[in-house]
Amino acid sequence: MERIPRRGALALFAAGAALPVSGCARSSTRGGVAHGDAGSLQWWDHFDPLKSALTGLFDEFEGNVGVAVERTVYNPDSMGQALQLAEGSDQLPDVFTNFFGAPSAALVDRGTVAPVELSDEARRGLEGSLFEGVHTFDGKIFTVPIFSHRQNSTLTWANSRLLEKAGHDAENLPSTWDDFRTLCRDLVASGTDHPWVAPLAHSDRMQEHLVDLAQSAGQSLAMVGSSGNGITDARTGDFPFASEAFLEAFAFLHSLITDGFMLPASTSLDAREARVRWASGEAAFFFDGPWNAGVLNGQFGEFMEDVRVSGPPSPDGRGLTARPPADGQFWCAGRSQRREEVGELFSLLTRSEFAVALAENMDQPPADPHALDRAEVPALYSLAVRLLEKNVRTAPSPVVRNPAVGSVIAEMNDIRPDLGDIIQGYLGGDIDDLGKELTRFNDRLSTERDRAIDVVNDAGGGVSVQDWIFEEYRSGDDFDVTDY
Amino acid sequence: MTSMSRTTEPRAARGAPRSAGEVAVAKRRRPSLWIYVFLAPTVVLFGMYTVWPSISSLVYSTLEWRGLGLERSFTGLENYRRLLADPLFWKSLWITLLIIVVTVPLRVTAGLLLALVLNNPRLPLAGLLRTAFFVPVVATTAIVGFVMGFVLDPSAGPINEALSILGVGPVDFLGSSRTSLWAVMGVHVWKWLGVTLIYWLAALQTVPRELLEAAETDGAGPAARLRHVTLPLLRPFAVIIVVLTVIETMQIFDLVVTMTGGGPFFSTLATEVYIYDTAFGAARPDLGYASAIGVAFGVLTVLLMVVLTLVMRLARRRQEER
Repeated sequence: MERIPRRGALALFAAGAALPVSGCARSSTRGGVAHGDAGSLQWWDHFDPLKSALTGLFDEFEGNVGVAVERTVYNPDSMGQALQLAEGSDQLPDVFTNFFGAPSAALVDRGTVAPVELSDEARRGLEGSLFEGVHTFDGKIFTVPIFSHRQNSTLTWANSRLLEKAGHDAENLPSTWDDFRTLCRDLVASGTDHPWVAPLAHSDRMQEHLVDLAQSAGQSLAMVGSSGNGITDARTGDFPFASEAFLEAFAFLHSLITDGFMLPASTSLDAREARVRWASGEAAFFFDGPWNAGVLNGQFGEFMEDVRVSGPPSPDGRGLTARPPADGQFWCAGRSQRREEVGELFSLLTRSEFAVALAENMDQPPADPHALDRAEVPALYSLAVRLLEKNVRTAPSPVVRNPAVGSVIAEMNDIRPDLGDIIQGYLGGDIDDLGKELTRFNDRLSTERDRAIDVVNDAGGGVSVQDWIFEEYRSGDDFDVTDY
Repeated sequence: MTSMSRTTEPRAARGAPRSAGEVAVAKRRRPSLWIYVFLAPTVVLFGMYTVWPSISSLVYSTLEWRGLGLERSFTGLENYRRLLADPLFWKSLWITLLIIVVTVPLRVTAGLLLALVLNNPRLPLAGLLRTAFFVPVVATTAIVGFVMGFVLDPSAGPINEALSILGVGPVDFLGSSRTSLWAVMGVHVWKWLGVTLIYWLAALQTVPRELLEAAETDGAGPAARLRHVTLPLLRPFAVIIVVLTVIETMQIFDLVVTMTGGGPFFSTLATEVYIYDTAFGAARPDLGYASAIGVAFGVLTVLLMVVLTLVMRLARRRQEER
């Protein structure tokens, strides 16, 4: 056999290695999308419960346009990672849900998403519900809201059998914090050792509960998304986490633990596991969003008749919360070659038939409040959504006032411990001086926001802290598109 | 020597006819193409999955890159400066170190003791016992972590049920920052003890039976045979077993993520988990900073291995000098 020089052999190996490696590398010349069937439109989302609603929509779209939609459903945990990797290799799908962890304005700035052309009928149907900086940018439509913003994660879900066992009227759930604690005491006395289960290991969900409870205690908030970076005191523009309302909300949750009402396993449960514990009768109360009815209906059907629901408990018993205008869920990739088709697909999302199908999925409530009237859903889900329509207000959003605020929030580094960490630390006994910790968190967020504002302004952003201030807004009011 | 004499051979002489024996010897010495063919998969895969990612991480660690979009700006050593001032990084390093300091001696010692017992040819059901100890090793870590959540549950877990019979508890093993790390370490030792056991069993097969029989003939009892024959012969293996166990222990990511996710309140935040959180789990992914943590952790791992190996070598040399 002919001798191969060692250097030659190594060069051969290097070339062999370079081929597959270069195949994995990002191509800067090819505008790629995720590759499925040739000619199909690629769609990634994390809404597993929307299968039937979207399948019908896709079938209709294929019938009209002649293009099949290939849908991939990710777990919320892995969706962001999938998008990061896909973008790094120019393989973003044509349509995706924004799990980049960045406000939509940042995606628009970077060209990650593209505007779409909706049909005239769709445009008419969306009048009054599209917000600049949320759904439209420079007047161009990028996304459409399919869910209502009138929702929260802190409805009180109760096991009526356990309540009746404690001698309580299950149709009359506690509306105040004091009533809630009193009923917990009665439940303990009647043999339900731990009446309340909470997903303490799920810090994002606990943060949502805390924000809802603080709002129900009178805190007026301006909001961009649901993370701490985007939540500010509407009247001052400051970060509000050491305010009286937040401290009261903390104290309420803490009292449920110190009084022994919380199921001990809560400390290591996420929302799904906590729901299972509650549905199996280990606890009487569980805070969750309206989708709880859909999950129960699918997984614990026999339990449905024992379930009752009411709004979040609050100091005054009204349970008012607020959310900013709902984001659009689906976005068209900036490099998609099928933007025209995506526009037609997004137009179908605005039709009332889709809203009805959405309601029948019993996940987040549809943007069209009338869809529930025509949907065939259990009364429990209808009741939950009606409660939310009545008690959730529209919070002001700094991004709607100035879309560049989104760039500031995208620029801000995470502060750790964040609000979710602090909740976990305080309720778990790792933080003794809560006020000091929250004040420190507020200060660090403010410093980081100031830095981010400077960075964005240096790039021509035109943002100031004034963009976060809505002095005229009061807790319990709606802040509509005309109020900006 | 032969090769030297050949290279200094006059050029003309190289063309001279050689005997058949010389040709055969020369052929044997030529690197065959097959060597490279067989090496190729390793070189290619090692290049793709170790060298390439390592170099990429080094490059990424000098960038400000959120993983969002293709915008990356070079920031030099800024990520490393940030890392030095990051209390969570130091906390995660401390937790990783604590896991190593507690679990490695436990695994190595318990593995050795078990191996000595199971290596006894007169032990009944030795094969079955070896398998039993190895079963957790082959179980998927994510499933182990998930199942242990139930086993250690403070409300209805079997361990707390047992403790309640004794009038103790309930103990919130995974939900309290005082106990969570110890619970994770306990499960880690249980799951991976079988690997260390197999290392020691393999090492024990190298102890010549004649030596043990000779010692027995000379009147050495079991303890003396262990102390003066078996353990000295096992010492060289101890170095590599400790090094391997330390490396395995540093890769505790999957168990921590499935059991505690790094919580509660960072109490089980091993460095690998912190890297993942920073790169993918955070609300604002920060791949540049996560790469810097990864590089720093890699460097510290190598340093730890070097120090460990040097210490072991030094100890062995001193032993030999005695």
